[in-house]
Amino acid sequence: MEQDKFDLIVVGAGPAGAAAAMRAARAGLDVVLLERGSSPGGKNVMGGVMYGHALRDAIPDFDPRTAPLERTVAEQGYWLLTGEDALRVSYRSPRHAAPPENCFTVLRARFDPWFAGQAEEAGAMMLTGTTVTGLIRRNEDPRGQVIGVRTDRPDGDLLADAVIVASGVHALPELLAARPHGDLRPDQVALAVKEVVHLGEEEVGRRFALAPGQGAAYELLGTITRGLPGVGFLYTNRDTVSIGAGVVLADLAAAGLKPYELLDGVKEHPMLRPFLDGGDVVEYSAHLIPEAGHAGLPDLAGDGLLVAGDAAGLVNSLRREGSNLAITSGLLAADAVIHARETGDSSARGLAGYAESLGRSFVLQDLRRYRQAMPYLRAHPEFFGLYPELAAIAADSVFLATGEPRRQRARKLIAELRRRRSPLRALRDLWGLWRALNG
Amino acid sequence: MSEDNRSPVRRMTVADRLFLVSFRPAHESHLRAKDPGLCAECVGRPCTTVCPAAVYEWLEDTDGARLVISFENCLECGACRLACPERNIDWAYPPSGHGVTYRYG
Repeated sequence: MEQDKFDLIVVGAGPAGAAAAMRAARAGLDVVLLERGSSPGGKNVMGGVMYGHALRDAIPDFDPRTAPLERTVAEQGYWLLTGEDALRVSYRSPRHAAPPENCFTVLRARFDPWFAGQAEEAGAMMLTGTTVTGLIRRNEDPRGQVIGVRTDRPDGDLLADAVIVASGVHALPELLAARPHGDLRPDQVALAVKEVVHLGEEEVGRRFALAPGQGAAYELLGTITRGLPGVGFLYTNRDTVSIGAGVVLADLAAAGLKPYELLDGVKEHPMLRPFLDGGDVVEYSAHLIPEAGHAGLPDLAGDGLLVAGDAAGLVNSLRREGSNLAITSGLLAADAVIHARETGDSSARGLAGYAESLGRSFVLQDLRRYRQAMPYLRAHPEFFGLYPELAAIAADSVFLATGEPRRQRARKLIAELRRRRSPLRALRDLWGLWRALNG
Repeated sequence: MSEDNRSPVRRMTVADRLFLVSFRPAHESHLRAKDPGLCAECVGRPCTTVCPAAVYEWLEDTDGARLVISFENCLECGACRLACPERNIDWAYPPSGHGVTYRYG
Protein backbone atom coordinates (compact mmCIF):
# COMPACT_ATOMS: atom_id res chain seq x y z
CA MET A 1 0.00 0.00 0.00
CA GLU A 2 2.80 2.43 0.88
CA GLN A 3 4.31 2.04 -2.57
CA ASP A 4 1.23 3.40 -4.33
CA LYS A 5 1.12 7.09 -4.96
CA PHE A 6 -2.11 8.71 -6.03
CA ASP A 7 -2.75 12.00 -7.75
CA LEU A 8 -5.32 12.81 -5.10
CA ILE A 9 -6.47 11.47 -1.73
CA VAL A 10 -9.92 12.58 -0.58
CA VAL A 11 -10.68 12.13 3.12
CA GLY A 12 -14.38 11.51 3.72
CA ALA A 13 -17.02 10.16 1.31
CA GLY A 14 -19.78 12.62 2.22
CA PRO A 15 -21.16 15.16 -0.26
CA ALA A 16 -17.99 17.29 -0.36
CA GLY A 17 -15.54 14.39 -0.64
CA ALA A 18 -17.55 12.35 -3.12
CA ALA A 19 -18.09 15.44 -5.30
CA ALA A 20 -14.35 16.17 -5.27
CA ALA A 21 -13.49 12.54 -6.08
CA MET A 22 -15.95 12.26 -8.96
CA ARG A 23 -14.80 15.46 -10.64
CA ALA A 24 -11.11 14.65 -10.27
CA ALA A 25 -11.59 11.06 -11.45
CA ARG A 26 -13.53 12.26 -14.50
CA ALA A 27 -10.58 14.48 -15.38
CA GLY A 28 -8.43 11.37 -15.43
CA LEU A 29 -6.76 11.71 -12.04
CA ASP A 30 -5.85 8.67 -10.02
CA VAL A 31 -8.06 9.23 -6.97
CA VAL A 32 -8.60 7.34 -3.72
CA LEU A 33 -11.65 8.20 -1.60
CA LEU A 34 -11.37 7.25 2.09
CA GLU A 35 -14.38 6.67 4.32
CA ARG A 36 -14.28 5.66 7.98
CA GLY A 37 -17.79 4.15 7.93
CA SER A 38 -18.32 0.63 6.66
CA SER A 39 -20.17 2.32 3.82
CA PRO A 40 -20.58 5.99 2.90
CA GLY A 41 -23.31 7.66 4.95
CA GLY A 42 -23.15 5.06 7.69
CA LYS A 43 -21.85 7.63 10.13
CA ASN A 44 -23.45 10.69 8.61
CA VAL A 45 -26.49 12.65 9.66
CA MET A 46 -28.27 15.67 8.37
CA GLY A 47 -31.85 17.01 8.44
CA GLY A 48 -31.70 16.73 5.51
CA VAL A 49 -32.22 18.78 2.43
CA MET A 50 -30.10 18.21 -0.68
CA TYR A 51 -30.07 20.84 -3.39
CA GLY A 52 -30.69 20.28 -7.11
CA HIS A 53 -28.25 22.89 -8.38
CA ALA A 54 -25.36 21.20 -6.61
CA LEU A 55 -26.32 17.72 -7.80
CA ARG A 56 -26.60 18.95 -11.40
CA ASP A 57 -23.15 20.54 -11.10
CA ALA A 58 -21.65 17.34 -9.73
CA ILE A 59 -23.37 14.94 -12.13
CA PRO A 60 -23.75 16.39 -15.64
CA ASP A 61 -26.56 14.00 -16.69
CA PHE A 62 -28.19 13.96 -13.24
CA ASP A 63 -31.61 12.29 -13.29
CA PRO A 64 -33.46 12.43 -9.94
CA ARG A 65 -35.36 9.24 -10.83
CA THR A 66 -32.14 7.25 -10.69
CA ALA A 67 -31.07 8.60 -7.29
CA PRO A 68 -32.15 7.42 -3.81
CA LEU A 69 -33.86 10.69 -2.98
CA GLU A 70 -36.76 10.68 -0.54
CA ARG A 71 -39.08 13.37 -1.90
CA THR A 72 -38.86 16.41 -4.17
CA VAL A 73 -39.57 19.41 -1.98
CA ALA A 74 -42.65 21.32 -3.15
CA GLU A 75 -43.28 23.27 0.05
CA GLN A 76 -40.97 25.02 2.47
CA GLY A 77 -41.90 27.12 5.42
CA TYR A 78 -41.29 28.56 8.83
CA TRP A 79 -43.48 27.58 11.73
CA LEU A 80 -43.36 29.97 14.65
CA LEU A 81 -44.28 27.81 17.63
CA THR A 82 -45.13 29.24 21.04
CA GLY A 83 -46.78 27.46 23.96
CA GLU A 84 -49.59 25.59 22.24
CA ASP A 85 -49.83 27.92 19.27
CA ALA A 86 -48.42 27.98 15.77
CA LEU A 87 -48.08 30.79 13.28
CA ARG A 88 -47.20 29.18 9.99
CA VAL A 89 -45.73 30.81 6.91
CA SER A 90 -45.09 28.47 4.06
CA TYR A 91 -44.75 28.49 0.34
CA ARG A 92 -45.77 25.66 -1.93
CA SER A 93 -44.91 25.77 -5.57
CA PRO A 94 -45.27 22.97 -8.12
CA ARG A 95 -42.45 24.70 -10.02
CA HIS A 96 -40.03 23.86 -7.21
CA ALA A 97 -40.81 20.19 -7.64
CA ALA A 98 -40.67 20.27 -11.46
CA PRO A 99 -37.37 20.04 -13.35
CA PRO A 100 -34.97 21.60 -12.66
CA GLU A 101 -35.86 20.57 -9.13
CA ASN A 102 -34.98 22.99 -6.34
CA CYS A 103 -34.27 20.53 -3.56
CA PHE A 104 -34.92 17.08 -2.21
CA THR A 105 -35.14 15.42 1.17
CA VAL A 106 -32.57 12.66 1.67
CA LEU A 107 -31.52 10.13 4.27
CA ARG A 108 -27.76 9.99 4.28
CA ALA A 109 -27.32 6.26 4.80
CA ARG A 110 -29.19 5.80 1.50
CA PHE A 111 -28.02 8.84 -0.42
CA ASP A 112 -24.30 8.81 0.31
CA PRO A 113 -23.54 5.30 -1.02
CA TRP A 114 -25.17 6.26 -4.31
CA PHE A 115 -23.42 9.64 -4.50
CA ALA A 116 -20.02 8.18 -3.63
CA GLY A 117 -20.82 5.43 -6.14
CA GLN A 118 -20.79 8.12 -8.84
CA ALA A 119 -17.16 8.79 -7.92
CA GLU A 120 -16.36 5.08 -8.18
CA GLU A 121 -18.09 4.90 -11.56
CA ALA A 122 -15.92 7.78 -12.69
CA GLY A 123 -12.87 5.71 -11.76
CA ALA A 124 -12.06 6.73 -8.17
CA MET A 125 -11.05 3.96 -5.80
CA MET A 126 -13.04 3.90 -2.58
CA LEU A 127 -11.69 2.47 0.66
CA THR A 128 -14.35 2.17 3.35
CA GLY A 129 -13.73 1.30 7.00
CA THR A 130 -10.62 3.47 6.84
CA THR A 131 -10.13 6.18 9.45
CA VAL A 132 -7.55 8.85 8.68
CA THR A 133 -5.56 9.71 11.80
CA GLY A 134 -3.29 12.42 10.40
CA LEU A 135 -1.49 14.00 7.49
CA ILE A 136 1.92 12.95 6.22
CA ARG A 137 4.19 15.90 5.47
CA ARG A 138 7.41 16.09 3.49
CA ASN A 139 10.46 15.29 5.64
CA GLU A 140 8.08 14.97 8.61
CA ASP A 141 8.31 18.74 8.90
CA PRO A 142 5.09 19.91 10.64
CA ARG A 143 4.94 22.83 8.21
CA GLY A 144 6.02 20.83 5.20
CA GLN A 145 4.01 20.01 2.09
CA VAL A 146 1.27 17.44 2.64
CA ILE A 147 2.23 14.31 0.72
CA GLY A 148 -0.27 11.80 2.07
CA VAL A 149 -2.35 10.58 4.98
CA ARG A 150 -1.92 8.15 7.83
CA THR A 151 -4.77 5.71 8.47
CA ASP A 152 -5.36 3.27 11.32
CA ARG A 153 -5.26 0.28 8.99
CA PRO A 154 -2.19 -1.99 8.93
CA ASP A 155 0.40 -0.46 6.57
CA GLY A 156 -2.11 2.32 6.30
CA ASP A 157 0.00 5.17 4.93
CA LEU A 158 -1.17 6.51 1.58
CA LEU A 159 0.75 9.01 -0.55
CA ALA A 160 -0.48 11.53 -3.09
CA ASP A 161 0.36 14.81 -4.79
CA ALA A 162 -2.61 16.45 -3.09
CA VAL A 163 -5.04 15.77 -0.23
CA ILE A 164 -8.58 17.13 0.05
CA VAL A 165 -9.86 16.93 3.63
CA ALA A 166 -13.66 16.59 3.61
CA SER A 167 -13.98 14.65 6.83
CA GLY A 168 -16.71 16.68 8.49
CA VAL A 169 -16.99 19.12 11.35
CA HIS A 170 -14.04 17.73 13.35
CA ALA A 171 -11.78 17.85 10.26
CA LEU A 172 -8.48 16.37 11.51
CA PRO A 173 -6.90 17.15 14.91
CA GLU A 174 -3.87 18.91 13.44
CA LEU A 175 -6.07 21.06 11.20
CA LEU A 176 -8.25 22.07 14.15
CA ALA A 177 -5.15 23.09 16.07
CA ALA A 178 -3.93 25.13 13.10
CA ARG A 179 -7.13 27.17 12.70
CA PRO A 180 -6.40 30.91 12.77
CA HIS A 181 -8.27 31.35 16.07
CA GLY A 182 -7.63 27.87 17.41
CA ASP A 183 -9.89 24.86 17.73
CA LEU A 184 -13.67 25.16 17.36
CA ARG A 185 -15.44 26.66 20.35
CA PRO A 186 -18.78 25.47 21.77
CA ASP A 187 -20.39 28.74 20.67
CA GLN A 188 -19.35 28.02 17.07
CA VAL A 189 -21.26 24.75 16.68
CA ALA A 190 -24.84 23.61 17.07
CA LEU A 191 -25.75 20.20 18.41
CA ALA A 192 -28.70 18.72 16.54
CA VAL A 193 -30.65 15.60 17.45
CA LYS A 194 -33.16 13.94 15.18
CA GLU A 195 -35.61 11.08 15.00
CA VAL A 196 -36.85 9.32 11.91
CA VAL A 197 -40.50 8.35 12.40
CA HIS A 198 -42.08 5.75 10.12
CA LEU A 199 -45.62 6.45 8.93
CA GLY A 200 -45.85 4.76 5.53
CA GLU A 201 -45.67 6.45 2.14
CA GLU A 202 -49.40 7.10 1.71
CA GLU A 203 -49.77 8.33 5.26
CA VAL A 204 -46.95 10.87 4.83
CA GLY A 205 -48.68 12.16 1.70
CA ARG A 206 -52.04 12.30 3.47
CA ARG A 207 -50.86 14.06 6.65
CA PHE A 208 -48.94 16.72 4.77
CA ALA A 209 -51.38 16.91 1.84
CA LEU A 210 -48.67 16.09 -0.67
CA ALA A 211 -48.83 14.74 -4.19
CA PRO A 212 -46.97 11.43 -4.70
CA GLY A 213 -43.21 11.96 -4.65
CA GLN A 214 -43.51 15.53 -3.43
CA GLY A 215 -42.31 16.64 -0.03
CA ALA A 216 -42.26 19.43 2.52
CA ALA A 217 -39.53 20.96 4.67
CA TYR A 218 -40.44 23.14 7.62
CA GLU A 219 -38.13 25.00 9.99
CA LEU A 220 -39.54 25.30 13.50
CA LEU A 221 -38.86 28.62 15.20
CA GLY A 222 -40.07 30.26 18.37
CA THR A 223 -40.04 29.08 21.95
CA ILE A 224 -39.75 25.48 20.76
CA THR A 225 -36.00 25.66 21.55
CA ARG A 226 -36.87 26.85 25.07
CA GLY A 227 -35.43 30.28 24.55
CA LEU A 228 -32.09 28.92 23.33
CA PRO A 229 -30.76 30.11 19.98
CA GLY A 230 -31.64 27.33 17.60
CA VAL A 231 -34.21 25.82 15.34
CA GLY A 232 -36.30 22.70 14.97
CA PHE A 233 -37.16 20.99 11.72
CA LEU A 234 -39.80 18.70 10.24
CA TYR A 235 -39.05 17.15 6.86
CA THR A 236 -40.96 14.52 4.92
CA ASN A 237 -39.12 11.49 3.59
CA ARG A 238 -40.67 8.84 1.33
CA ASP A 239 -42.32 6.78 4.08
CA THR A 240 -40.93 8.51 7.17
CA VAL A 241 -40.60 12.00 8.57
CA SER A 242 -37.49 13.53 10.13
CA ILE A 243 -38.09 15.60 13.23
CA GLY A 244 -35.34 17.27 15.19
CA ALA A 245 -33.87 20.33 16.77
CA GLY A 246 -30.48 21.96 17.04
CA VAL A 247 -29.20 24.63 19.40
CA VAL A 248 -25.84 26.30 19.95
CA LEU A 249 -23.77 23.88 22.02
CA ALA A 250 -22.48 26.53 24.44
CA ASP A 251 -26.03 27.63 25.23
CA LEU A 252 -27.28 24.06 25.58
CA ALA A 253 -24.47 23.37 28.03
CA ALA A 254 -25.11 26.56 29.99
CA ALA A 255 -28.81 25.71 30.28
CA GLY A 256 -27.99 22.21 31.53
CA LEU A 257 -30.63 20.95 29.13
CA LYS A 258 -30.29 17.48 27.64
CA PRO A 259 -30.64 17.38 23.86
CA TYR A 260 -33.18 14.54 23.91
CA GLU A 261 -35.31 16.53 26.39
CA LEU A 262 -35.29 19.37 23.88
CA LEU A 263 -36.44 16.88 21.24
CA ASP A 264 -39.20 15.59 23.57
CA GLY A 265 -40.51 19.14 23.86
CA VAL A 266 -40.56 19.57 20.08
CA LYS A 267 -42.40 16.28 19.52
CA GLU A 268 -45.00 17.11 22.16
CA HIS A 269 -46.00 20.47 20.70
CA PRO A 270 -49.72 20.30 19.77
CA MET A 271 -48.93 21.50 16.24
CA LEU A 272 -46.50 18.65 15.66
CA ARG A 273 -48.17 15.74 17.42
CA PRO A 274 -50.78 15.10 14.72
CA PHE A 275 -47.98 14.63 12.18
CA LEU A 276 -46.24 12.03 14.35
CA ASP A 277 -49.01 10.23 16.22
CA GLY A 278 -49.13 6.49 15.69
CA GLY A 279 -45.80 6.44 13.86
CA ASP A 280 -42.85 4.29 14.88
CA VAL A 281 -39.58 5.94 15.77
CA VAL A 282 -37.09 3.92 13.73
CA GLU A 283 -33.88 5.84 14.40
CA TYR A 284 -32.36 8.43 16.71
CA SER A 285 -29.26 10.34 15.69
CA ALA A 286 -27.09 13.29 16.64
CA HIS A 287 -24.71 15.55 14.79
CA LEU A 288 -22.63 18.66 15.32
CA ILE A 289 -23.05 21.51 12.80
CA PRO A 290 -20.31 24.10 12.28
CA GLU A 291 -21.99 27.49 12.53
CA ALA A 292 -19.14 29.95 12.85
CA GLY A 293 -19.65 30.93 9.22
CA HIS A 294 -17.36 33.50 7.71
CA ALA A 295 -15.66 34.41 10.99
CA GLY A 296 -14.65 30.80 11.58
CA LEU A 297 -13.14 29.96 8.21
CA PRO A 298 -9.90 27.98 8.48
CA ASP A 299 -7.09 28.17 5.95
CA LEU A 300 -8.75 26.65 2.90
CA ALA A 301 -5.46 25.63 1.31
CA GLY A 302 -1.97 24.65 2.33
CA ASP A 303 0.90 23.05 0.44
CA GLY A 304 -0.62 19.91 -1.05
CA LEU A 305 -3.78 20.39 1.03
CA LEU A 306 -7.33 21.64 0.51
CA VAL A 307 -10.23 21.66 2.97
CA ALA A 308 -13.89 21.38 1.86
CA GLY A 309 -17.41 21.04 3.24
CA ASP A 310 -18.09 20.95 6.99
CA ALA A 311 -14.36 20.45 7.62
CA ALA A 312 -13.97 24.05 6.41
CA GLY A 313 -17.09 25.18 8.27
CA LEU A 314 -18.98 25.85 5.03
CA VAL A 315 -22.52 25.95 6.41
CA ASN A 316 -25.04 28.73 5.95
CA SER A 317 -27.03 27.94 9.07
CA LEU A 318 -29.43 30.85 8.65
CA ARG A 319 -30.64 29.35 5.36
CA ARG A 320 -30.04 25.77 6.56
CA GLU A 321 -27.85 25.23 3.51
CA GLY A 322 -24.83 22.98 3.92
CA SER A 323 -25.05 20.01 1.57
CA ASN A 324 -24.88 22.32 -1.45
CA LEU A 325 -21.97 24.30 -0.02
CA ALA A 326 -20.25 20.97 0.59
CA ILE A 327 -20.73 19.72 -2.98
CA THR A 328 -19.77 23.02 -4.59
CA SER A 329 -16.64 23.33 -2.43
CA GLY A 330 -15.68 19.73 -3.22
CA LEU A 331 -16.02 20.36 -6.95
CA LEU A 332 -13.99 23.59 -6.79
CA ALA A 333 -11.30 21.88 -4.69
CA ALA A 334 -11.06 19.16 -7.33
CA ASP A 335 -10.76 21.81 -10.05
CA ALA A 336 -7.80 23.33 -8.21
CA VAL A 337 -6.10 19.93 -7.93
CA ILE A 338 -6.72 19.24 -11.63
CA HIS A 339 -5.15 22.61 -12.44
CA ALA A 340 -2.19 21.96 -10.13
CA ARG A 341 -1.53 18.69 -11.88
CA GLU A 342 -1.34 20.49 -15.22
CA THR A 343 1.08 23.10 -13.89
CA GLY A 344 3.00 20.64 -11.73
CA ASP A 345 2.63 22.96 -8.74
CA SER A 346 0.60 21.60 -5.84
CA SER A 347 1.94 24.12 -3.33
CA ALA A 348 -0.50 26.45 -1.59
CA ARG A 349 0.20 28.93 -4.36
CA GLY A 350 -0.52 26.35 -7.05
CA LEU A 351 -3.80 25.48 -5.33
CA ALA A 352 -4.83 29.10 -4.67
CA GLY A 353 -7.48 28.89 -7.38
CA TYR A 354 -9.68 27.06 -4.88
CA ALA A 355 -10.05 29.96 -2.44
CA GLU A 356 -10.47 32.35 -5.36
CA SER A 357 -13.23 30.38 -7.06
CA LEU A 358 -14.91 29.65 -3.73
CA GLY A 359 -14.80 33.39 -3.02
CA ARG A 360 -16.55 34.14 -6.32
CA SER A 361 -19.16 31.41 -5.74
CA PHE A 362 -22.30 31.63 -3.62
CA VAL A 363 -20.48 29.66 -0.91
CA LEU A 364 -18.28 32.43 0.46
CA GLN A 365 -20.45 35.25 -0.90
CA ASP A 366 -23.37 34.02 1.19
CA LEU A 367 -21.27 33.29 4.28
CA ARG A 368 -19.90 36.82 4.03
CA ARG A 369 -23.37 38.29 3.59
CA TYR A 370 -24.75 36.51 6.65
CA ARG A 371 -21.62 36.89 8.79
CA GLN A 372 -23.43 39.06 11.35
CA ALA A 373 -26.61 36.99 11.54
CA MET A 374 -25.64 34.24 13.97
CA PRO A 375 -23.75 36.49 16.42
CA TYR A 376 -26.70 38.89 16.36
CA LEU A 377 -29.31 36.24 17.01
CA ARG A 378 -27.25 34.67 19.77
CA ALA A 379 -26.89 38.03 21.48
CA HIS A 380 -30.65 38.61 21.24
CA PRO A 381 -32.47 35.72 22.90
CA GLU A 382 -35.71 37.73 22.68
CA PHE A 383 -36.03 36.41 19.12
CA PHE A 384 -36.41 32.94 20.64
CA GLY A 385 -38.85 34.00 23.37
CA LEU A 386 -40.36 37.44 23.62
CA TYR A 387 -40.90 38.21 19.94
CA PRO A 388 -42.51 34.86 19.04
CA GLU A 389 -44.86 35.42 21.99
CA LEU A 390 -45.70 38.93 20.81
CA ALA A 391 -46.38 37.54 17.33
CA ALA A 392 -48.84 35.06 18.86
CA ILE A 393 -50.56 37.88 20.78
CA ALA A 394 -50.89 39.85 17.56
CA ALA A 395 -52.24 36.82 15.72
CA ASP A 396 -54.77 36.31 18.50
CA SER A 397 -56.00 39.82 18.03
CA VAL A 398 -56.42 39.28 14.29
CA PHE A 399 -58.20 35.95 14.46
CA LEU A 400 -60.22 36.11 17.69
CA ALA A 401 -63.72 37.60 17.54
CA THR A 402 -64.74 38.74 20.99
CA GLY A 403 -67.76 40.98 20.47
CA GLU A 404 -65.65 43.95 21.47
CA PRO A 405 -65.19 46.73 18.89
CA ARG A 406 -62.05 46.16 16.82
CA ARG A 407 -60.76 49.70 17.40
CA GLN A 408 -60.92 49.23 21.17
CA ARG A 409 -59.13 45.87 20.92
CA ALA A 410 -56.42 47.31 18.70
CA ARG A 411 -55.70 49.91 21.40
CA LYS A 412 -55.46 47.18 24.02
CA LEU A 413 -53.15 45.14 21.79
CA ILE A 414 -50.84 48.08 21.24
CA ALA A 415 -50.78 48.81 24.97
CA GLU A 416 -49.94 45.17 25.67
CA LEU A 417 -47.16 45.11 23.07
CA ARG A 418 -45.75 48.37 24.44
CA ARG A 419 -45.81 46.98 27.94
CA ARG A 420 -43.81 43.94 26.85
CA ARG A 421 -41.30 45.89 24.75
CA SER A 422 -40.93 49.61 24.27
CA PRO A 423 -41.55 50.64 20.65
CA LEU A 424 -38.11 52.21 20.51
CA ARG A 425 -36.37 49.02 21.60
CA ALA A 426 -38.52 46.92 19.27
CA LEU A 427 -37.60 49.18 16.39
CA ARG A 428 -33.94 48.96 17.28
CA ASP A 429 -34.16 45.14 17.52
CA LEU A 430 -35.89 44.81 14.18
CA TRP A 431 -33.50 47.23 12.53
CA GLY A 432 -30.59 45.26 13.98
CA LEU A 433 -32.08 42.01 12.75
CA TRP A 434 -32.67 43.44 9.29
CA ARG A 435 -29.10 44.67 9.12
CA ALA A 436 -27.72 41.39 10.37
CA LEU A 437 -29.68 39.51 7.73
CA ASN A 438 -28.67 41.84 4.95
CA GLY A 439 -24.96 42.14 5.53
CA MET B 1 -50.17 15.27 27.64
CA SER B 2 -52.55 12.45 26.86
CA GLU B 3 -52.06 8.97 28.26
CA ASP B 4 -52.30 7.43 24.80
CA ASN B 5 -49.82 4.56 24.83
CA ARG B 6 -50.05 3.98 21.10
CA SER B 7 -48.53 7.37 20.34
CA PRO B 8 -44.81 7.63 19.51
CA VAL B 9 -44.98 10.93 21.29
CA ARG B 10 -44.91 9.10 24.60
CA ARG B 11 -41.61 9.85 26.26
CA MET B 12 -38.75 7.65 25.14
CA THR B 13 -35.74 7.20 27.35
CA VAL B 14 -32.19 7.53 26.04
CA ALA B 15 -31.91 3.75 26.28
CA ASP B 16 -35.07 3.35 24.15
CA ARG B 17 -33.53 5.64 21.58
CA LEU B 18 -30.09 4.03 21.54
CA PHE B 19 -31.75 0.64 21.11
CA LEU B 20 -32.75 1.85 17.63
CA VAL B 21 -29.16 2.46 16.57
CA SER B 22 -26.63 -0.22 15.67
CA PHE B 23 -23.26 -0.18 17.34
CA ARG B 24 -20.15 -2.28 17.00
CA PRO B 25 -18.14 -1.38 20.11
CA ALA B 26 -14.36 -1.53 20.08
CA HIS B 27 -12.52 -3.29 22.91
CA GLU B 28 -11.13 -0.06 24.26
CA SER B 29 -12.72 3.32 24.76
CA HIS B 30 -12.01 6.03 22.20
CA LEU B 31 -13.00 8.59 24.88
CA ARG B 32 -11.00 9.29 28.01
CA ALA B 33 -10.77 11.96 30.68
CA LYS B 34 -7.18 13.18 30.42
CA ASP B 35 -7.00 14.27 34.06
CA PRO B 36 -9.74 12.70 36.25
CA GLY B 37 -8.89 15.24 38.95
CA LEU B 38 -10.26 18.04 36.77
CA CYS B 39 -13.58 16.20 36.45
CA ALA B 40 -13.86 15.99 40.25
CA GLU B 41 -13.55 19.78 40.48
CA CYS B 42 -15.67 20.55 37.42
CA VAL B 43 -18.72 22.73 37.99
CA GLY B 44 -21.80 21.54 36.15
CA ARG B 45 -20.01 18.76 34.25
CA PRO B 46 -21.54 19.70 30.88
CA CYS B 47 -20.44 16.36 29.39
CA THR B 48 -23.11 14.70 31.55
CA THR B 49 -25.88 16.88 30.08
CA VAL B 50 -24.96 17.75 26.48
CA CYS B 51 -24.13 14.21 25.31
CA PRO B 52 -27.07 13.03 23.16
CA ALA B 53 -26.32 9.43 24.14
CA ALA B 54 -25.78 10.05 27.88
CA VAL B 55 -22.32 8.50 27.57
CA TYR B 56 -20.98 10.43 30.56
CA GLU B 57 -22.21 9.82 34.08
CA TRP B 58 -20.80 11.12 37.35
CA LEU B 59 -20.98 8.34 39.93
CA GLU B 60 -20.38 8.63 43.62
CA ASP B 61 -20.56 5.33 45.51
CA THR B 62 -18.45 3.10 47.74
CA ASP B 63 -15.82 2.88 44.98
CA GLY B 64 -15.45 6.63 45.16
CA ALA B 65 -16.45 9.48 42.86
CA ARG B 66 -15.67 9.12 39.17
CA LEU B 67 -16.71 9.82 35.62
CA VAL B 68 -18.13 6.69 33.99
CA ILE B 69 -17.82 6.76 30.20
CA SER B 70 -20.14 4.37 28.33
CA PHE B 71 -18.21 4.77 25.09
CA GLU B 72 -20.07 1.89 23.46
CA ASN B 73 -23.15 4.14 23.14
CA CYS B 74 -21.27 7.01 21.51
CA LEU B 75 -22.97 8.58 18.46
CA GLU B 76 -19.62 10.16 17.47
CA CYS B 77 -20.97 13.73 17.32
CA GLY B 78 -18.08 15.18 19.34
CA ALA B 79 -20.19 17.55 21.45
CA CYS B 80 -18.31 16.44 24.58
CA ARG B 81 -14.97 17.38 23.07
CA LEU B 82 -16.03 21.01 22.66
CA ALA B 83 -18.38 21.33 25.65
CA CYS B 84 -15.77 20.28 28.22
CA PRO B 85 -14.70 23.59 29.82
CA GLU B 86 -11.22 22.17 30.52
CA ARG B 87 -10.82 20.45 27.14
CA ASN B 88 -10.15 17.44 29.31
CA ILE B 89 -11.64 14.82 27.02
CA ASP B 90 -9.17 12.88 24.94
CA TRP B 91 -11.45 12.46 21.92
CA ALA B 92 -11.02 10.41 18.79
CA TYR B 93 -13.24 8.51 16.42
CA PRO B 94 -13.47 4.81 17.26
CA PRO B 95 -11.02 2.59 15.37
CA SER B 96 -11.97 1.63 11.81
CA GLY B 97 -14.80 -0.88 11.64
CA HIS B 98 -16.24 0.11 15.02
CA GLY B 99 -18.74 2.50 16.51
CA VAL B 100 -22.12 3.65 15.28
CA THR B 101 -23.71 2.75 11.95
CA TYR B 102 -26.87 4.59 10.94
CA ARG B 103 -29.46 2.86 8.77
CA TYR B 104 -31.24 6.11 7.88
CA GLY B 105 -28.86 8.91 8.85
